[in-house]
Amino acid sequence: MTLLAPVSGRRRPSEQEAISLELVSGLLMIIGLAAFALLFYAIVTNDNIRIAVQGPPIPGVGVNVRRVQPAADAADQTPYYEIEPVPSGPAAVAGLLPDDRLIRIDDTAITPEMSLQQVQDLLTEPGMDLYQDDFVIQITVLRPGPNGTLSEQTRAVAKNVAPTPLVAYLKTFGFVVPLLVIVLGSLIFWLGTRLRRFDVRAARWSVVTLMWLMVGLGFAAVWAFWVNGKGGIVTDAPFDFSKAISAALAPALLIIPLFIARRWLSSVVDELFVGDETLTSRNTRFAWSLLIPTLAVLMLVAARPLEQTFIKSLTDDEFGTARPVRFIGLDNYRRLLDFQITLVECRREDNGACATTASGQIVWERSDVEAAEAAAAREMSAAERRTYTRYTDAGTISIGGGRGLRVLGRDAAFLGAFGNTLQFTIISVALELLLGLAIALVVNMNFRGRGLMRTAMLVPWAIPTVVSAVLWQAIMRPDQTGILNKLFMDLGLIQQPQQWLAASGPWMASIVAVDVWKTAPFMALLILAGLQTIPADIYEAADVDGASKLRQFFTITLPLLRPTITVALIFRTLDALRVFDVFQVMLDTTRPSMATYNYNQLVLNRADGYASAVGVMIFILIFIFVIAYVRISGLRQEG
Amino acid sequence: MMTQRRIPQVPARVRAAGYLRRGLFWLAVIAVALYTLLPFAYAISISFRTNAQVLVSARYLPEELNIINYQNLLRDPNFMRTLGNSALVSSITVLLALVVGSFAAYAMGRVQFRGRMGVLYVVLAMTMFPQISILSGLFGIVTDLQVYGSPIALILTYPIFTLPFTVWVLTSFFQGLPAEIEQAALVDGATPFQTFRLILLPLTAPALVTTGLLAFISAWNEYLFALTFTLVNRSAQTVPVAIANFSGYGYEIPVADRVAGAVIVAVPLLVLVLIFQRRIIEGLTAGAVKG
Repeated sequence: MTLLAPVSGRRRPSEQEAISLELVSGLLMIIGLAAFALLFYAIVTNDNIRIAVQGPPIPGVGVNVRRVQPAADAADQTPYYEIEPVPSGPAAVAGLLPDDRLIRIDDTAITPEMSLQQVQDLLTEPGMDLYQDDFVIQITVLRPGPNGTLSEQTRAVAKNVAPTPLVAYLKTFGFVVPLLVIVLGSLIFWLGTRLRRFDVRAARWSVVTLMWLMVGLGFAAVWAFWVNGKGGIVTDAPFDFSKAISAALAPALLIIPLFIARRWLSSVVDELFVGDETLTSRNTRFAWSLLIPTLAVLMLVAARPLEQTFIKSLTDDEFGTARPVRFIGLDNYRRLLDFQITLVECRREDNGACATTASGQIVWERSDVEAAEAAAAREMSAAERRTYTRYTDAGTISIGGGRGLRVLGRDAAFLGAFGNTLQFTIISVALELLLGLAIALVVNMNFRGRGLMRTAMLVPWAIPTVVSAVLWQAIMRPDQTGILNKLFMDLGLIQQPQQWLAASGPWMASIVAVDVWKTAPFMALLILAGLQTIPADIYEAADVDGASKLRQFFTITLPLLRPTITVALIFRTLDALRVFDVFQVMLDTTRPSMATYNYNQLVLNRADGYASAVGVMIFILIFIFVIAYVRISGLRQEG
Repeated sequence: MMTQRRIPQVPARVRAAGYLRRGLFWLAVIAVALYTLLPFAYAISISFRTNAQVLVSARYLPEELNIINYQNLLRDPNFMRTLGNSALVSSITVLLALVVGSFAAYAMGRVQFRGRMGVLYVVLAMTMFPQISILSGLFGIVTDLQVYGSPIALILTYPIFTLPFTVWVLTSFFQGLPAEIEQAALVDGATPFQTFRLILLPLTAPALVTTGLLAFISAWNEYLFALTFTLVNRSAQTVPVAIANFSGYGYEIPVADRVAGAVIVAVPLLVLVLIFQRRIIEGLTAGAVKG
């Protein structure tokens, strides 16, 4: 279908226009090539990659060794080795000083006869397995004292291997951005070549491309202005305008030629260029040009971070250390997911009953696995013990008869977090659904003040989760100063003040209650909207047929509500699986959900790589739910 | 009318059952109202007591209307700055989501083009994206762009939850508009962008208000990113972070003043929600039920 008239009346370009066209097409081709060049330049000059390729002076140890010939007037004329710790490297941290004389490495004496290469080989030990965790080398040095004496000191220096170039590259650049730069660069270059053949579609695409390039450069200029002027992450320094302007000048100036080119091109696009364009292809261009900002933003805040998280989860990256990043394969996941289930007995009282703690929880004996682990740990050397992660208790479920199933994991805290999250999700979503359905049925009746009621139901939802957590913390204070304790004691429901949020108390129920309070009315509103789409005459017909109200509910209301309930359920499930605010504010780090565990690992432990693996686990879990959602709700296929 | 006429005809036993049912019904209504409103009412009650009073005993109603907590908070420049940060971050986030999102929604709701279903699926998947799972990746981006510890980090990262939702809801609104509009505009010689800006955008103003409000609420309430990216810089924190890490003005554990702060945080939202409740319910159900 061609709604647009084919471009007719095309005239021959004047000589001046021919030159302009050459210039514009040249500009596009240069931009395309510049994209490649910039990418190449960024990769080549990247510090991480350069270090990974060349290796630091001595990889990982952080010392340079220097052979020193004593001064001519010194009493002892034998040459010796001096070391230079790389600032803030592991050697410097271990307390080595620049004029320390090296005498032994791991009990191998360093003699002046050895060549510098031999000493460095000793330090680097190229045969060492790259996948081994950090290990320590003992460097023994003579340290000159103030009165000319030399005292012997031994320093342990953590040694590790340099990152492989691939890991360094992936961590800095990844796949998405380079791929995008290459594809877009080629496309722009191709547009430039098509322009010279007077292709009208290429010309129109060029106009769009030039416009978004200008916008992009504008943002780059603003960013450069701000970052360079501010000079540091958190500083009190005044804004440095000269620095800011000089950094923003280049991208800002680049806008000018693009602007001129775009203006000229759009003024002649209907006169100089040839070709037919269908409505669909025109629509496609228009649509994609409108989608570009959204896609760019999603690229920046979703695709790239997701890719980064996946890549980092395969490394042992940590913040704030000088240690190079290493590829460790699936080790993070192995540690997260490695678990065993074993049978344990409860600790018996003298009368044969199971011993319980003051709050009524059963005391369990140590399991065979834990005993075996403890025995194995005693056999290990100190170095082995440091790198070995034991199986620890992640929780025990009583199966009756004084026996229980104990889950043990290499990372018991994560398994605990996983269990907490799952438990929280199942209980809270189920309660919210039931309560929400009940509230919706009540509010769906015709009564005076229904509008007010609906407003009231929005209140818990409108209160920020953090605020509701703070509020409920005040309500659930553990002693008689808590209103919940007072209320329940006034009503005679409890005799003693309850510690609602303590580890020995009903903390999971409390957390669920907070979440249910916040979301059940909201769920009710969603269900209410579904209820109101059910036509009233169905009920009238059922009344005429003599169906009871209960029967009507199960045969009419519920089946017709199913789509609404399904969608609401899935959304709530996804929300509950990534619960963060309530757990973080009310329970701190002691009883984490998966999300707070991820946060703790990332921000408090600075274990970037490990936290990434946790994040990927959450992502996979939720992804499975999303697929289930799309399957169940049978998303309409349209267009 | 009908019921009034019929009541004298039914036997007394049935009439009693009817009263009982009505009584139970109103009991249920009152229970729901109390359940949803009481906790926040208690928050207001506790915020009028001093911290020392709160730490001694629990009371349903305050001894007196003591506004010391509010005075302290409103005079505290740090707290006021976090309020300002929240307002700034949320407003810019909304503006960004609406401008960028309406472009994309128009393209997807009104234009037939190749790859439309693919983009639609991506946006739908994004509305369910777990933000927590890319926290460490975003942390890297934010430090790479050197905006860590500034409100800009939040403005930059909030589109991850506001934008897909905005696009999704606006797309369905655009789809609901009659197709003749563009055809008329096209006949009159308007360019597609003119059609969008001058004709369709004003028509969707109600939808823009709704989605803008929802985006504002989610940005105002956001805690995870705010905590992670502004933990190092007190002057960049938003109000949820400030409330969660509130240390009080005295030496005791902050309870009453913390709750007072929480009330201050919640009030702007409650006002917004109460004014626009109809729109919000519409927007939410459009987002969830039409999915």
